[in-house]
Amino acid sequence: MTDAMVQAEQVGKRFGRLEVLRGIDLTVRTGEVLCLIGPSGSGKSTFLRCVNHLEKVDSGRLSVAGELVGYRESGGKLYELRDREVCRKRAEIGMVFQRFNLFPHMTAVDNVMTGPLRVRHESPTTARERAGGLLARVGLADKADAYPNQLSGGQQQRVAIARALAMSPKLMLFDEPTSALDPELVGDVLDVMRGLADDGMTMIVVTHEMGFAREVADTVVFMDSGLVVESGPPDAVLTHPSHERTRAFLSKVL
Amino acid sequence: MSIGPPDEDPGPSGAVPVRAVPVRHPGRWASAAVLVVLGAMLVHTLGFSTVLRGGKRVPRFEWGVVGQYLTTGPVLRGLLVTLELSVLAMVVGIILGVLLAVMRLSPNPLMAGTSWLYLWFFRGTPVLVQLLFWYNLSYLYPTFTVGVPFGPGFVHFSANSITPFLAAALGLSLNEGAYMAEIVRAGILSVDEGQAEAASSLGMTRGATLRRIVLPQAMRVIIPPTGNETISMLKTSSLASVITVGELLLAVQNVYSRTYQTIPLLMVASLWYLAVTSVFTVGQTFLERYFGRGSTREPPPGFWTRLRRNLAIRPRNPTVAGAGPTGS
Ligand SMILES: Nc1ncnc2c1ncn2[C@@H]1O[C@H](COP(=O)(O)OP(=O)(O)O)[C@@H](O)[C@H]1O
Ligand SMILES: [Mg+2]
Repeated sequence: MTDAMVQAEQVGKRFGRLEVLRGIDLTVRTGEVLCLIGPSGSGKSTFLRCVNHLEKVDSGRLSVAGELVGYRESGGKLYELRDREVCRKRAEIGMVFQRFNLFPHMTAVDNVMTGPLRVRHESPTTARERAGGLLARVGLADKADAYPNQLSGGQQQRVAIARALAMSPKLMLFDEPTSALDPELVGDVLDVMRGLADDGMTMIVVTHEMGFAREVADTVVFMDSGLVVESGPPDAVLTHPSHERTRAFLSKVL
Repeated sequence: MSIGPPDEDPGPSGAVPVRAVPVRHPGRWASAAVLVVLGAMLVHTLGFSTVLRGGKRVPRFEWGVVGQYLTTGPVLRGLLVTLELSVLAMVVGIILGVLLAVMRLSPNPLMAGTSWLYLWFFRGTPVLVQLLFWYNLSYLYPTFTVGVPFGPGFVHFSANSITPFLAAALGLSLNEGAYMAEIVRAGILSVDEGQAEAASSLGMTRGATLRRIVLPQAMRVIIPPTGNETISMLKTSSLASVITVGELLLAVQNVYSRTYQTIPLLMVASLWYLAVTSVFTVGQTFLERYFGRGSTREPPPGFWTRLRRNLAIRPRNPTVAGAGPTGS
């Protein structure tokens, strides 16, 4: 069990009377790439947000790298973590959003430096140097001084990936990273993600890019209305789905 | 889009420049003519007209008297007090406003409630009444004591240590804090929630997120009304004359109560208020430009460019729409 990066057992989450997650069981091993697919509103984003505690889990157990998310367990009792401890744990998990959410008042390199500077309190020189390296890695070395609104969507998303990587996370969460992009810009972002996967990064990717899932994922999980319907290797889930709902979904997106 | 002269060559790309008669705005020229006449009348009555006063024909506006007092010691000292009072009240007001806005948006209901109560009280009572209240505080509390609540006190001081200036600064700041709180809150709410989320996901604390990510972006929305508030404060500070603070208005009042030159001395005060307001306005423009970085691809056109565009006056070096570089 020690190599489980993310372990979810019967994770439940409700917003008021709406039960969004109804008992999710799922394991992500260290170094694994897990693609989460499913219809809109099935709770994929909510699950990702639970993993880095942007949302509180209501029931079940969710742990990252062997530690419970948002709680400390001692003597059989759960204690809520303080704001500071939650922040420390979030710093080790990178997240990439559908709408990029770059900081518009900062240049690309300042965006990438923000985490190291404001959370790790690195020196500006070191932080800038590493940020430059990361921008080069996502193919944007020449855009360091551009503001987000001077970049295309695909470039912005790659800066956002570099910003998350700057914290040297042990887990990366991607929430439909290419859904807001023009089709011809999707490839560059997927290439960067493929590179990360090849380097052994542990990733949970919510995506509608079935080609990417088939090629890069170790495991594909199909979710519907707050439940895991089916999971397994890409070939099993995407080519020979065993559930009617999976088949129905795939017939719509493929 | 502007137009090339008729004899222009097509560009090297062979593209034919667009030739079109621009939309004319005869209404603009007509209204400009009316404005010129009105302006001339204004200049005349202000500067050159005379009036019969006490059997003598004298200039209507006694600019001579205005000039005589504009830079005298008492007036300048009053101006200094006005500036000190307004700047102090604005600085404290802005700090209070940020605190109150953050409290109001806090998930802690006690904080939010306290902030709400503060706003309810300070926005609900006239600022002049508040000034008079602080001025007369010694009636309620002849002495102040620092010590254990309901227990022994350690330090005592008399309410007489509240000077009129302090009373005015206190009253104006506390009142301003209530108004700034709403301005700052509007600014914070204008920032997309995804920004705070992205900052949180990097591991930034609530405080760091607010200071580094949310407030800098909120500034774009906060600055224009804050400029308004600053200009308004400059003038509201004249209320302090009622509680004997020797600011600009009281300074000129002291003069005209001796010389009876009421109007020229009020003009002295007004000219100074106008001058300081103008300086603040320029400062605001610079602040807006600084905090607007990253929000527009091009800086907005300046005043002259806009005027030229509106009157459809051709720039000297026309650019041709649609074509590449035109052979010069
Ligand atoms: N903060 C929230 N408050 C109330 N309902 C929410 C909130 N966030 C998500 N939901 C609801 O939860 C459901 C699942 O949403 P989400 O996890 O975003 O789905 P997905 O990402 O799979 O499309 C949707 O019905 C959505 O309306
Ligand atoms: Mg979603």
